[in-house]
Amino acid sequence: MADSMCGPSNGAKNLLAHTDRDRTLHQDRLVNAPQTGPGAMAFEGFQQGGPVNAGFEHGPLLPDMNPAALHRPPMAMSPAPMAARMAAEHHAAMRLESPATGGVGNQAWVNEFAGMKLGNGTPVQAAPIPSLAMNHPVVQQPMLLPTTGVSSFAPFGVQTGMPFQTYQPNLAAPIAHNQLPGQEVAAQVESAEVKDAFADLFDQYEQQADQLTEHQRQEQEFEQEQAKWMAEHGPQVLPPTAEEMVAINSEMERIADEQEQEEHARRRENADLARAAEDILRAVSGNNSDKFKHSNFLELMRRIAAAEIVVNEENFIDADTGEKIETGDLVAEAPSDNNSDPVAGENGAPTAPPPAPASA
Amino acid sequence: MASLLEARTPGFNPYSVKYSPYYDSRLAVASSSNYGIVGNGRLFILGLGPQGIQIEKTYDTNDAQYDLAWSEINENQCAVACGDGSIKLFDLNVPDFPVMNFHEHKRETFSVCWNPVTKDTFLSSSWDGTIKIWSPTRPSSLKTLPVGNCTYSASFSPHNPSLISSVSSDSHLRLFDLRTPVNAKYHLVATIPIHSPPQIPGSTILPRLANGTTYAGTIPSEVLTHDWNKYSDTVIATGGFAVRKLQWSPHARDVLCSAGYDMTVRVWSDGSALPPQMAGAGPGENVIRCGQELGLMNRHTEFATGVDWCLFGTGGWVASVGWDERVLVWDAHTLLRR
Repeated sequence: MADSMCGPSNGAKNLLAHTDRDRTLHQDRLVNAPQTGPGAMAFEGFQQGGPVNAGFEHGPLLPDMNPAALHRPPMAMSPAPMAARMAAEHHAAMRLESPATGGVGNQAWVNEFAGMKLGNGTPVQAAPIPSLAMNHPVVQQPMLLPTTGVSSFAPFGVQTGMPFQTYQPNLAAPIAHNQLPGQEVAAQVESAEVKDAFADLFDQYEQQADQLTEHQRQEQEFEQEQAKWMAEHGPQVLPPTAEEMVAINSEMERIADEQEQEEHARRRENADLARAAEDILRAVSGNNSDKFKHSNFLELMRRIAAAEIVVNEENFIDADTGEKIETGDLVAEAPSDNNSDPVAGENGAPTAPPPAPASA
Repeated sequence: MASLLEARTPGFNPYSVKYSPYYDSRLAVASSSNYGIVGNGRLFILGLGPQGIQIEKTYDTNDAQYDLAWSEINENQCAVACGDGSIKLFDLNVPDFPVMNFHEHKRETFSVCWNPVTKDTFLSSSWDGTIKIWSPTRPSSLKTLPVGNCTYSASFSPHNPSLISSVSSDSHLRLFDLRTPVNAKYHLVATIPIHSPPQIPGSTILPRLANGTTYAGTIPSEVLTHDWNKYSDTVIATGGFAVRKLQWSPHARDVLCSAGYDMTVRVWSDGSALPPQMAGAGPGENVIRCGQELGLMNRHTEFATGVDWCLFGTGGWVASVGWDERVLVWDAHTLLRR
């Protein structure tokens, strides 16, 4: 490989080479071990001999640890090689630092590792990783880590401190893909729900699409019918014949006559109203009191008599502007009421308190 | 309570006001937009309470409203005379629309009056020159009485359910008696020229007024309103030009109230309660007593078009309306005590 040919450019490459070597040295350990993927080779070195191996090989706590159970679809496992690679580097580094490297019974190391605490002093088992794998009691035991393949490195990746913290995001994916029975069921349920949700959405989309199509079809149908009607009854491309012109002219004259008659009738009604208004004004002309000067009704009569206001259908309108007239607001100022008596006789009514009102 | 209560009818010019014959705290006002010249009408049902006058219900009509009459047999019903010639019966328990529509008049219906004695019929008069008698349960009229002139006002006698009076544009008062057979006159039993001096059979002497002057009559003119005296079955008051509405008091036999085109409401005495003032009147001489104005209510700022006395209580409360879009309820005792 190019990297090997060029020599290590940094410590990580060295570690990678070491793990490669380490992996080749322990092929015999894989005889009875479940093959969970490429990453499974990486940590064989941690499991050589001793009770750890025994526990692992007889592993009663892992009923689903068979190749079929651990099998994952290619897409789901796609992050695993990378995670396994990082996990291998992780373990290789740990082994370099550990006095038990290459030893046979490294229970002491395991115990020591189990007693390790994070930077904040949290025991390994109590590491609050929000992962389904971490919450499983089996996964929380370091000795069983090899049996779970790549996912078993999640605790390590998280718990071994700063150098490998950067790998945690990458490790999280394999953890999520390697789930235990309960999680598997939950995942299947969730998957079913997601499928159902997607199915519903697709159904809605299809319905909307169908409706849209129906609407478009109706639009087209309407346009076709409209075009058909216009072709039959609409304006002809050809100019009207002489007979048609006679009929058209006759109809136009009839409409014009009707409008003219209506206009005449309206003018006549307004003229009659103007004359009536003049009569009313003449009848009250002898009264020059403030009330009559400020009367809205008489002001309306004055304007009607002057043809400033005319009747149009059900309203009074301004003859010039055509705007509707509010007949109650023609006079801005109401006559002043200087009489303080509530009932107010012109000659001065008594101000004695009134008798009791009518009883019910 | 103040001696003057006020309510407004915004956008509508009242033509008539009537106290309910069942409740002293309920009023109805018939009104029209644009002074009744063009536009719609609106019936206001008003309630008098501690907060003053409140609008309780309104009923709109397509044409102007000129008069109204409360039903005498159903405290919730009210008949309204409309400008399209119809009479609409509204029930306060039914919102928005009339429960009956009586439409036979060819022109504006200008007055309605419920029979105060039998209470089972009401009448209407119209500019088409007819008076029609109706049952509130039948859409067609029971009887039509021809007048031949614009009939501004028609009324049942409060003393006899068969007597009907009317006044019209020809300056005459007509009296119909439904007990008479239908002949060529259609129950018409009397026609009285209002503005002419009363004639004494076999005499050409003009009557004299109680103040000593001779009465030669006045120029004939339209008669817009009249009312039977509640206490004297032979007395009818009429109002000509400038008097739009008059109403005898239900509490005093000589007192009546008028609303007119001079924008005032006046309280009158017919003079019957006053001692004779004319000296030298010989026996059998036709002397016309003179009335006297008791007071004047001058608060309306447009033509005063309607007035009515409250039937209940101490007998001085009056409701008046005018084209100033106002309803005024006031105590006439403040005028009578002058």
